[in-house]
Amino acid sequence: MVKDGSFNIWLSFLKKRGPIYAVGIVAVLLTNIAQVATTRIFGFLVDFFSSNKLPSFFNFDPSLPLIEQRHIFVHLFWLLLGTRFLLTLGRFGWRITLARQTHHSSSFLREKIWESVAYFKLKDLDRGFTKGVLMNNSNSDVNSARFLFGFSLIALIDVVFLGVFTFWAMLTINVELSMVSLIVLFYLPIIIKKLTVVEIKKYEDAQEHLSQFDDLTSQSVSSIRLQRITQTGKYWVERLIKRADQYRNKRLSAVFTNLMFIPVMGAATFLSFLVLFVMGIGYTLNGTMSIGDFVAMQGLIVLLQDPLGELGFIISEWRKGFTSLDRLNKIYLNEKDSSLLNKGTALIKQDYILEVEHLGFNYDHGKEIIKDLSFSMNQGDRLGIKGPIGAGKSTLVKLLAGFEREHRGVIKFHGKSYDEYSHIDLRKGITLVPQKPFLFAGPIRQNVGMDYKLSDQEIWYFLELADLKSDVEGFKEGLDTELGEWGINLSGGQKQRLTLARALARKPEFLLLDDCLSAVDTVTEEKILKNLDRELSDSSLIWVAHRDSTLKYCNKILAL
Amino acid sequence: MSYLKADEQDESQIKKFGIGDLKSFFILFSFAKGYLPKYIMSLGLIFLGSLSVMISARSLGKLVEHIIAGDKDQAWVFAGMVLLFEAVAIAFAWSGRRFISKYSSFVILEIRKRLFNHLQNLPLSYFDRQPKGRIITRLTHDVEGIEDFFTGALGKLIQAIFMIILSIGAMIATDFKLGLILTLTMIPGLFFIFATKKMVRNASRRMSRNSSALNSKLSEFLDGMEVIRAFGLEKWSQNEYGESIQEYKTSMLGANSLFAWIRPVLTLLVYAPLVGLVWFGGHSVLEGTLAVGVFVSFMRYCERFAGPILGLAREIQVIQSAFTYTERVANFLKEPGEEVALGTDGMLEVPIKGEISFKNVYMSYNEGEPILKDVSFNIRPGEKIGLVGRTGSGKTTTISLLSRLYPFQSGDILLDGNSIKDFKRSYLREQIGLVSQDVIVFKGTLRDNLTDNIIGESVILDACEKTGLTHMMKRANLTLDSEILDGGANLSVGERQLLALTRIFIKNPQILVLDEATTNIDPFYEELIHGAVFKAMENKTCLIIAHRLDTLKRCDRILVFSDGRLIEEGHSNQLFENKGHFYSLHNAQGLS
Repeated sequence: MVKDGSFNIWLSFLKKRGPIYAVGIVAVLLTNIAQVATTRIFGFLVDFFSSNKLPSFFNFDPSLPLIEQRHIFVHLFWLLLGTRFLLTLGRFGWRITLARQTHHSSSFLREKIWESVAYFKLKDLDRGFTKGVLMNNSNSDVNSARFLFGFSLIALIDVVFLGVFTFWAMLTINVELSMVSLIVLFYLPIIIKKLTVVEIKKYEDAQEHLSQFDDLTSQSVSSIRLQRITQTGKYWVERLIKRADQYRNKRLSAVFTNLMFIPVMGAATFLSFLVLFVMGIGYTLNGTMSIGDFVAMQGLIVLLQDPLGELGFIISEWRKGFTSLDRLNKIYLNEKDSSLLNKGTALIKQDYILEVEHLGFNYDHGKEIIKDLSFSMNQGDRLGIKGPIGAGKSTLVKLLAGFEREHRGVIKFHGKSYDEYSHIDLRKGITLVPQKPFLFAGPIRQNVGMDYKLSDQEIWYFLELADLKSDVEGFKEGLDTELGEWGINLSGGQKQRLTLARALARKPEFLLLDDCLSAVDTVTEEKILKNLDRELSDSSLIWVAHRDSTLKYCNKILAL
Repeated sequence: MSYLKADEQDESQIKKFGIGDLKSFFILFSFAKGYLPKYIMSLGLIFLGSLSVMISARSLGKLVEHIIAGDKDQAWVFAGMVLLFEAVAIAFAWSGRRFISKYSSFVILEIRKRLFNHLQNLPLSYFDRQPKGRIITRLTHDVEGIEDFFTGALGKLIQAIFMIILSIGAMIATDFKLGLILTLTMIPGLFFIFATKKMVRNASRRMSRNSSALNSKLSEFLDGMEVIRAFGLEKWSQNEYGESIQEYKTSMLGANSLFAWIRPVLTLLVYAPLVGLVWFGGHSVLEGTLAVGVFVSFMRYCERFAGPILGLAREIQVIQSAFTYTERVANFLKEPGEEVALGTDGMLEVPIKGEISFKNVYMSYNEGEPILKDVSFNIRPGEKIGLVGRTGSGKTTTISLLSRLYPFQSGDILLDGNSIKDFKRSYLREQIGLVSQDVIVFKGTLRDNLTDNIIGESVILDACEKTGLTHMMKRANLTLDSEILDGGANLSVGERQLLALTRIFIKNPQILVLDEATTNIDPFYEELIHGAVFKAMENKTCLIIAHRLDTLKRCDRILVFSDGRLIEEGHSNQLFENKGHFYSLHNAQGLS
């Protein structure tokens, strides 16, 4: 179950924080001792009240009237009060030490995810590690794995010690009764473990239905305009309600499973009373056990139910935790894209900025998309690429930008293959503006500059090149206007123009534009093209478009 | 997740409007109105369950008394009582809780139905004003919060209240003075719960806000992976993500520090009656005024209500947020529907020929910012009309007005000579088929995607034939029963667009509107689609909005919009020769 890799992650985290874990364990022990002590004190009290024998250190003489020995009662009371405070202190202790590690580990596990994923091969993100998978990993897997470092650990220590202490306290009162109680209650961890597994599965199932239903709901809100015009709203409502009802059923079934814990735990109370009465009443009546012992025993059996019941939860929690940690570990260990980690050599400028010889490409086992293509580009060239959909324009752009390296033939950038440069050096020189604009949540200012520090003046300049200046000036907050999935809705054309401005801000020496102005109206597009041609006179440009008008500033055209 | 922040600002607004906790409590229960008798029955069951627990506790005390007295037979009788009432208590509590969950699930379904129906009735202007995310939050997240309350917390809340009331009652009935004292010792615990309520809520709100912020950041970075690669932003993204994690961690640790003292102190206070029992009850026992058996019963009472109170303290957040969510949902349901924005619905439902005339129409979404200014034109039945102009010039608004999606301030729009205000809105909209560049395709068969009604195979196939979908199906090896993936992932953009067009043709509208329907499509499909449209819509009115002007050459006439006005009108060739606005648009595209 526990693979070396993920177990090591767990262990080394614990080792690094050894002292704090030690303090936490002491606090859990303190809590457990105080819990068991409380039930014993109640037993002593009842024994005292009914003039039974007490342990010798109380100096209690059952034959004297109780009222004359009030000081013993007062001692017992202070002992009880002290125990309650100790309990409080113990609980505070493990929360502030051990429980806290849950959160520390959660940050640690999350940080490591992106540290690794940022360097994944892109094709891994399309296949095994899709967004859904990774989001799931960083949410539910981190959430269950983090408990291994905190709460689950506390629960385990708690269960073991509380169980042992309680059982030991019971043994000191009556061995047979203790043994029988333990045997009878042993069904609890087994059933609870099974129930927990079913419950988790049902909740996951319900959750799955919920997220599908939520998806449908958001689709419905997004398409409300279309529904209104085409009068298909009624149909959508029907579909939504049908899904809502399916989810209702799933969720109810999960809730019912959860409610199964009422009879299961109730049965434990019932059985412990049964054992206590069948054996205990006899023992008490024939004097084997005092009445105080009987009362203490009742409290202890109730106390024993907790660890036994918990044991079931804990087993499944640890299992789940380590399965999640295994999954996370797979992310941590997944192969990185070596081209990103390449040290590389310095870029030395050559006449030919780009030389392509006998280039060929196909996705694994797919049909050949690019066949024996050769051309070259000088500095300042404007190359247009056109061709029908499916001709491989976007693929070619990816190859030329150096994102896809597994091709036939040769691509040289300033005389050397992309593999000979470092990733960071390359990205300073080459910029690609993709077809689908993508912006990050945050202010417009940040979306233009990204990791570069730009003055306002520079930002406005780049916005002007992309003909977005007047749009942004129209926004109330100007450059500080927050963008975001749900924030201000830029129009499709504005998004494309902002994406372009962001690329221009990097002052690229080699710029690839993959049909990136498709949503911009023709007058604006014309303005932008003119700006680019004028301001980027030293840069080399590649333009991909299916409108011919876009390519009119090109000095070379490549038709695929 | 900025809309969540906005929602919080909203909350303070709601408070200003004066919907307090109490009011939202009533709203919450107004949702459950139809299920009142069933709820009362469930409450009864839970009540009986709690009562049985009390009887069992009292019996245990009696049992101890009889053992002390050495009365064997009586001891066994009470042992039997304890067992019996324990069993009965479990059965009642279990069934009561099951019923509550079940009825609550129906109440939630009821709320969802109401919300979806309301969604259909809200005027489109509402959707323009509100961020989409916020509306979705109302319909998903907020309802789920109410659901958590109804299916989970409600049962526990009721059980806890009964348990507290009954144990107080039982203690006071058994020994008035001691019972009263112990009841008073509960007060600090309850007070503590309310005193720390706000702190706990703020801490958890911070946690959930930072946690969703962290999630959206990761989701964003995954979506933007290509940009990160293209710009070499790997280190930058790690720093950004690291900052978000740090914020998240700070809030988690803050909550940890808070809970570290709140929870143990609360437990200490909740068990205060037990300590009080020992002190006050113990003295009574010493003085001989209280039986040991009663002392033991009281011990059990105190243990029995401590659990539910602790549980309640944990649920109090669910209950509180349920109030907040209820306010939001209630406010959403109060938003005025179309009848307010557009006026009373018309009655007219007559067959339509397709003659459209705009008469001096003025329209503005916001006062003082007119979008259409004095627009007038006539379209004869069966005409094919192109609408042209830069973004924001008023083309789409013109079409929206025709479908009665928005009110217009002055002028009139006539359809076959009748004002469109006189038509029944749903009837009017059914007569107009619209295809835009957004196509909704969902998981299901091709047939499901084409029509929601039971329509003869021949009608569907006929429409497929007209639009060229049959041709496409043959090429892509699809039948009407082929499975289409969510979002149409197994179809190309052009194929999806053909599907949307066919869907509209099956409905056989009298007027067809294409709103940038072919912008994302390469010329091959565009030609195919336009060919299909012109053939199928013979004698029916068509309005076509397009950026690419050469797609409009076949139109009978073109209306050119600029800045909310209709400035040119005529056939493509004629407009070209006039060298006006159309001509300059045309030139910018570099076409000859």
